[in-house]
Amino acid sequence: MVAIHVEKLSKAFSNRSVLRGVSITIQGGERLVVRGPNGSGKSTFLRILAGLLTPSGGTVRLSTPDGNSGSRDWQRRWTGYLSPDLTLYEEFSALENLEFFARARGLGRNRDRDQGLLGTLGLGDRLHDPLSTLSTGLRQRAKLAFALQGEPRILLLDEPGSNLDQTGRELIARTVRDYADRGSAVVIATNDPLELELGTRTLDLA
Amino acid sequence: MAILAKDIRSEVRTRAALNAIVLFSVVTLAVVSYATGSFGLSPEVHASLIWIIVFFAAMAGLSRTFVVEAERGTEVALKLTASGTQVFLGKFLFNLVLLGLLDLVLIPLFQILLPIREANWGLLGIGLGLGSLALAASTTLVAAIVAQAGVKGALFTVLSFPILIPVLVAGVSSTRKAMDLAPWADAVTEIQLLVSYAGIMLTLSFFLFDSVWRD
Repeated sequence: MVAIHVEKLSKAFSNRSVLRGVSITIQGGERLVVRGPNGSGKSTFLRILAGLLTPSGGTVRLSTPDGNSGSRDWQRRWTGYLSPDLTLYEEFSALENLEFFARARGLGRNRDRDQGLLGTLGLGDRLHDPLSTLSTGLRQRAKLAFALQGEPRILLLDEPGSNLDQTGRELIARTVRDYADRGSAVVIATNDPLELELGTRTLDLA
Repeated sequence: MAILAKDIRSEVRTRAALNAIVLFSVVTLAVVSYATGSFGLSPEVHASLIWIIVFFAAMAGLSRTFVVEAERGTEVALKLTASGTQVFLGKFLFNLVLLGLLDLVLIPLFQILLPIREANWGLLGIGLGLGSLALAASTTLVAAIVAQAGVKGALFTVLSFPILIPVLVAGVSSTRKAMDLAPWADAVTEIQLLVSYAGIMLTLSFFLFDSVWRD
């Protein structure tokens, strides 16, 4: 089973401290909700877990299902990340985006797999439309497809329901439960009451 | 190769870099051609003009490869899925393709607007090709640094110029010798310099790129 071990994690931007000594272990199958007021470091915490930011102090260690430490390559292959600061290529369709990122991740080209994923997320009839022509909600679904590509063992979702309608929010809830049931470690940064209910554990950031 | 293919496809659709490069070349050559009229240019002036256009066209276009990713916010997705080496190689090859296209457009344009009467065409081509390789090798890393800066503006040109002085000097010299119909042996030093420079910059970039690209 995959696990994320966070020890005494801290992050400061210039002189402003955002995270101070956060320690937690997130096991596969868990759904951790990270909550806190604006500026408390929820997004920063997820960005560090995703390998996008280097912490100022402390460590993040990944344990892979075979008991090894997760390397950078492993992290790229098996981590799914969705956040408001993530943008896909607007001049490409959702399918073209997935095909490119699959090749970059080393998953190889598999059009049926990518079409199937987009279909389950409600983009089946807009597969070939450039993202720039899609609504904000449909773009959010395309970003979710990016996060779910390759069936990640670690799923990091920052305000996943933003810009989504009721159906989209239900889709997020189903996805979160489904991935945790399959053994993935799911971390959600949110203050949305409905998304808070998805967690089996809560991390409060002051 | 996935990143190279993606960038080429993206460029075909948006023409963000190609338009800047080609338009700069055409406008500069048209203005100089109008200003000099029917006067024939000396090999020294011709060679300098070629490299001025290559340098500034590269400055106008090559920084876009990373700046566009940063401005649109797509670099997050790229960082999540591709290694630093993959990104560097993809962007370097894309810049090389752009400069290759520029070279292919530039010489016929010169022949139309400011004709080169005679030259050692092989040496001219090799000099331009190796110069482009050296330009692409060094500017790819600089573009990645500039993309992280808050104020991008002319930073790319300011940072690139001192680094590229050896390339420009060797490039102008080899092009001038080609236009003077000099034999290949006379331009060995310039060719060696361009090859060594490209090799050193590529090696340095491989080692440094990950720390520039991450965080």
